[in-house]
Amino acid sequence: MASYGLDLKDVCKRYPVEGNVIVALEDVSFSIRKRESVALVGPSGCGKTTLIRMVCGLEQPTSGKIMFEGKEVREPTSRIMMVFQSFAIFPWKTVQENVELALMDKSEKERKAIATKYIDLVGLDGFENSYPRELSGGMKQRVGMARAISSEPDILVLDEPFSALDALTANNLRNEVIRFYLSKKHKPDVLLMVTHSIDEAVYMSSRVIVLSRRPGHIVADIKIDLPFPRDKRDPKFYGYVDQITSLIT
Amino acid sequence: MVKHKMLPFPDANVGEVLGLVEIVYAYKGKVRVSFLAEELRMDLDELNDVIEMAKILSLVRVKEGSVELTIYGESLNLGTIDDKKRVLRKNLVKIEPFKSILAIIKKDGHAHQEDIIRGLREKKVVIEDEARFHKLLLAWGGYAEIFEYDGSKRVFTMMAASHQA
Repeated sequence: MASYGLDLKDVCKRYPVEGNVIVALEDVSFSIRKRESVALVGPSGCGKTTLIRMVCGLEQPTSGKIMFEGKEVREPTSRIMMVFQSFAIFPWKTVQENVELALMDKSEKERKAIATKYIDLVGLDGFENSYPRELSGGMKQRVGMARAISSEPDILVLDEPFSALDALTANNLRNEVIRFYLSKKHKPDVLLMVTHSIDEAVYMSSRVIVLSRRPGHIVADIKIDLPFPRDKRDPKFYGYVDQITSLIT
Repeated sequence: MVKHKMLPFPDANVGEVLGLVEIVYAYKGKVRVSFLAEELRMDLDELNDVIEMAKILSLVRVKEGSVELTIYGESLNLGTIDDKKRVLRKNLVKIEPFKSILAIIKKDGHAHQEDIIRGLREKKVVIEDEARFHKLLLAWGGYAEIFEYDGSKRVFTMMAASHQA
């Protein structure tokens, strides 16, 4: 039967290190369907970032399979795009040029039009010809987001997207990402986020997958049954935070 | 000694001010500043800069140690990005040094970064850190769509939206 979504089946990742083998991830299996917002949490070094890099086709599993809509992910695809913790934007290129980088398969005219649309959508209209060095961290991350969503991916993967930002800017961007996703007016259909903040995971996700210490494997897959926008003072919110914290510590 | 007539705005970014307004809103529109600093693990001086900028923009008021949203602050929370920009633009163009900056840009419809700084200094505005000032100016004026900026020419140009502010 055709499967419409992301499916990880028995994914393992091993690295050879000085004659030994480090097992980073062991038998990780889960599926994500349309309109799910999923957070991956776990202790440092549990392989969460490795896992999402494999989902994006930037690395390959040692064994097991990562399937997207029934096809194995073997290389980066514009249908699964990533927002990086460090923004990953080129300082010598303008905002417009940085966003257009994700659209190199389009004609120049199309590239310009699409990039302009997404620059506007993330609130950076007027910054097209600015350089990243002139922007604050929050604005730089907006550029990273515009680039990631400009190719209208089905899955948006976020690798600790707010951890390099101050607390208030991070709060603002979290809310904007959630509003954007919930509006259902645009792709992506799925958010897959890695975060070290359990609070953030519960605030933004419909599901939280908890990984163990190395070798990382799934210890819990928890549905967050709270309406959006979430109220961090709700006792149920803290119930989830406590439950997940106790699984990690 | 020259008496400075105006000071540049506080050292606070757009994202910080929007984030502050959202957090105060989440606390039903009013929260103690000391509690907020602890909750956000923020230095009180740093938080004060953000609150000060939000105050200048008429988004919050501070009363007896608590920060609370004004009607503008509340409306900022309920709108889209474009609505937020509209509220910020409406309030920014009324305050210094934006009023003076706008007057400088409006003369020819555009102005070089150095002309803006020179123009402000003629009005005795203190700009100690030009790079920081430039970043903040671009962040606020750009986000509120008052002007657009060309980084290769270092030129600010009026945006159509700002005429309707």
